[in-house]
Amino acid sequence: MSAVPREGSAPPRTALLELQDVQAYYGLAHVLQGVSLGVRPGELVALLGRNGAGKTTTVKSIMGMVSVRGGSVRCDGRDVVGLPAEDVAQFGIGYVPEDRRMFPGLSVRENFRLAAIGARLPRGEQQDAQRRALEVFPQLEAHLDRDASRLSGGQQQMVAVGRALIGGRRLLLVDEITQGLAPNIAADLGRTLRHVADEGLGVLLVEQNSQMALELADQVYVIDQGVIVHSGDARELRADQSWMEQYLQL
Amino acid sequence: MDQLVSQLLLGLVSGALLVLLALGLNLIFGLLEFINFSHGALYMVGAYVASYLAAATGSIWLALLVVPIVMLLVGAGLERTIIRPMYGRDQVDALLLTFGLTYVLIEGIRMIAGSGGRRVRAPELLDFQVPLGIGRPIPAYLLFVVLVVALVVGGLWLFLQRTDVGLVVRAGIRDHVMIRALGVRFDRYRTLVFAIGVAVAGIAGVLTGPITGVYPEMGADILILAFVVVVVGGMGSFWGAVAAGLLIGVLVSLTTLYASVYAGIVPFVLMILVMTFRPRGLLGAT
Amino acid sequence: MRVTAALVASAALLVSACGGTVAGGGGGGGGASDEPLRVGVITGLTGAYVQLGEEQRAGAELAVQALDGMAGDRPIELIVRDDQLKPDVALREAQALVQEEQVDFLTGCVSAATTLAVNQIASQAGVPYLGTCQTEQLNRPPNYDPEVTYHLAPTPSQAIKAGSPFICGQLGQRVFLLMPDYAFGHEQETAYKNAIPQQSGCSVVGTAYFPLGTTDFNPYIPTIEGSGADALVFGGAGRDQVSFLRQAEQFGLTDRIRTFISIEDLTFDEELGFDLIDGTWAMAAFYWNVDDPGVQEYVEAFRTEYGRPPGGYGVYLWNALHLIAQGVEEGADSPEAFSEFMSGREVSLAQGEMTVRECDHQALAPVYILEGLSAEEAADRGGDPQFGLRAVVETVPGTEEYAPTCEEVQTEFQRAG
Repeated sequence: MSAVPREGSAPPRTALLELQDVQAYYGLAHVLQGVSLGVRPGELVALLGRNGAGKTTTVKSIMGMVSVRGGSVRCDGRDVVGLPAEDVAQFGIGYVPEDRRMFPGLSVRENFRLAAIGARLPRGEQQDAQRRALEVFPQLEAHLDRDASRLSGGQQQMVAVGRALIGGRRLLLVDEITQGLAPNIAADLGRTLRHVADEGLGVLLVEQNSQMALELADQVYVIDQGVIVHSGDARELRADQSWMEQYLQL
Repeated sequence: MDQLVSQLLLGLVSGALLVLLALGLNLIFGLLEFINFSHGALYMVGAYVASYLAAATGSIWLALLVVPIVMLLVGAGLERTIIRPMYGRDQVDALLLTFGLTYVLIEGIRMIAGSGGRRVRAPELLDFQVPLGIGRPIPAYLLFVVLVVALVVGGLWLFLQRTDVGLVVRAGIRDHVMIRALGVRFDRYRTLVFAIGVAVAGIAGVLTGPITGVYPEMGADILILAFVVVVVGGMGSFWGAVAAGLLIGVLVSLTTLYASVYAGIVPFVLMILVMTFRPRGLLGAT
Repeated sequence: MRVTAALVASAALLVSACGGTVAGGGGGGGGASDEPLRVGVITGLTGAYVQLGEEQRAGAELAVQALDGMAGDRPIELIVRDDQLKPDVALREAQALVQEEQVDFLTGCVSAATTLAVNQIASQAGVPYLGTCQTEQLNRPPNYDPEVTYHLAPTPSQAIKAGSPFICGQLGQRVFLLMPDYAFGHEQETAYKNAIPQQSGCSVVGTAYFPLGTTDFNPYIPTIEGSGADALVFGGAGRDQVSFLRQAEQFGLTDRIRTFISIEDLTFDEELGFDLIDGTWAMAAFYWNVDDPGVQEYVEAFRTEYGRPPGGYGVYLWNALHLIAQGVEEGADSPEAFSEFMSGREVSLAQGEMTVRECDHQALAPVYILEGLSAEEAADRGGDPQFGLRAVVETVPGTEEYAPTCEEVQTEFQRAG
């Protein structure tokens, strides 16, 4: 049990994102019962866990989309608990939600423009923002004027990540990105995220595909029933995978 | 044949005003996710403001410019004060609130302007009939109404398609949680959309004045029809509301010719049919 | 809704309090004969016809003033209640007036639906009821109770029979009927379809209905024109009338097809104004500038109090209170005695010469055919620049000729058993 962080053993001060003992609720259900984790610049952190363990809730608690009633969520050292999602996003956080959440009827271009509006870029910089997203996903260039909700699952996921990258200049929160995608497409996306982290962004990756996440990550947390039950350096966890059976029942 | 054409054209005229009310209602429902029961009363307020302006200036020209601005401010004020606290609560709360607002507005107008109606004249410039070559001539003012409605509908459409605000609104109608997560200050857009919806209702009020006169309950009956238009067209569907408004206008007009007793129920029969066989409306999103 | 109910309740309380203050000073010590005479007025003080209801209240109050608050030795006490135009409310209020307020008479009504409810309670309690809405049903089976029921307003068929010779003789022989789609409109249609073909050469060439509260009459214009009519009878009241005439004028319809308004009321005339009324005709059971001393007495009383002439609905209440007071003064203070007093009674009140005939207690009063004036015409004739919107062109006296005969009524009663 040495891998479970002790009270007060905070991640390093340079953390972009730092969750401490977060208690979150859905209505009366006490979903997160003390989650602590941290993401530093250039670091890809994987949050693993079974269905219903609290992974998505953790991401939503950062974005102010669930009610956090205890602990703290710090972005750049500032507590964001209680802030609405639009204000949390202003810390340079990009959010890639579970199931992508395309806006039916909006083209790829409009998705990017929307993200630029959300990032409060001046009008002149909207084009640059789109260009940055296209640099990461050049495949989307050909589909810019198509309804994004009618693209293939992989392409939609690219739009979702590209969109998140426009506002998320510092940190990406990525929820279940590989769900329903063909393995090779999932792997491509994974490589992109690794690349993004290597460029200096922090990435918090929530995944069911533990194997893939483990390979990409620098740091790994395992959550079960709303509590972090295991964590450590990804390299070490790759070496000895017995914990997987214990916590993820794989 | 001539008569049929006339019925058809006049049906389109009748539908045009319904379209304006339905569009505002639809926009507010789409983004703010509640049914603005006070829409008809706000339309009435717009018509009253226009009637006073028309009395002061002699025509409705100035009212056509001023009323939308006044109603934009009224709408923004209402949203910021009494409607905002309803978000995040049950939709029924906002419905009840605006239901109450309706009666406050109606009674308020009664106190200020009395229970009787006020006369508003069509501009003298438009006091003639336009021969169309087919069917009976149509009063110029009615053609003017159709023109203004077309301009407002077109303008609204361009606004929604071309501007940043429009983009946010279209996206917000689909998923307002996600646009907030992208960093969009949704509250401001909610205020704006409510205000725009109210302003459009105000324009409808200005245009209606010279047709029916202005009176405290004028919003009640037409609001019900506007609801029907929204449902028939498809909740949240822009062109659905336009198509349904015109369709209902034409159907009522044709029924008037052949079986006027049933003209009043035609919109409701259509609504029942649509709800049964195409619950998302004629052009509603699937 | 609870708030509305509370408001209505407090309004009702205020109203009855006001009613109380109208009560005459009245003489001192005991004795049954100078006990207050309690008259319950039920009318629509909220809802679509609020103006008409208010005017009925005014008519009753002014009558009490004109009578110095006394019916013979008895001070008159008015108790006014709001029926909200709803039969169930009317039923409840009538019950309350009869049981709690112990009224001696009931009167009032602006909507036919409520009058039957009040009549039902009146009949059960044996309290005379002087109905004041224009309906065919009040004094017909199964509603008519000869002990208590009186009808002071003309029935639609009576007025229409009186008006039809003018329509066919002066306006046009090919008549289109545009009627509101509820009982009152259908009653009118039946009556016109009876009366118009009886005029030589005259026929109904088309009928259309519009829902109550229609604001958009555009589709009706080509329908009317397409029928080939040269005269139009519009059967709607109030707001519908304003909307229709405004739109008809925009289309120039009233210039080509002579338009006759079946129901006239000053409140709406005023809103229409001279330019919409000019070139139309109408009929009414009361018009304020009718040259008759009885009419003018009421008009003066109303003008003094409210600064304007009355519309057509308060007059029935003014007449009702006068009839009640006169009856009580003559000792007819039991329902039986009052029935005797009323049957065949000939009076001259605010509608002119009037008879309450014996067989169905129907008032037979004149019907006035009115011509809409332009502002210049009104000025030329020395009329009122604000309210002189119409002038009487013909007075059709209230005679049996225009009502169903008592024989016909008897047959109807017998058929109903």
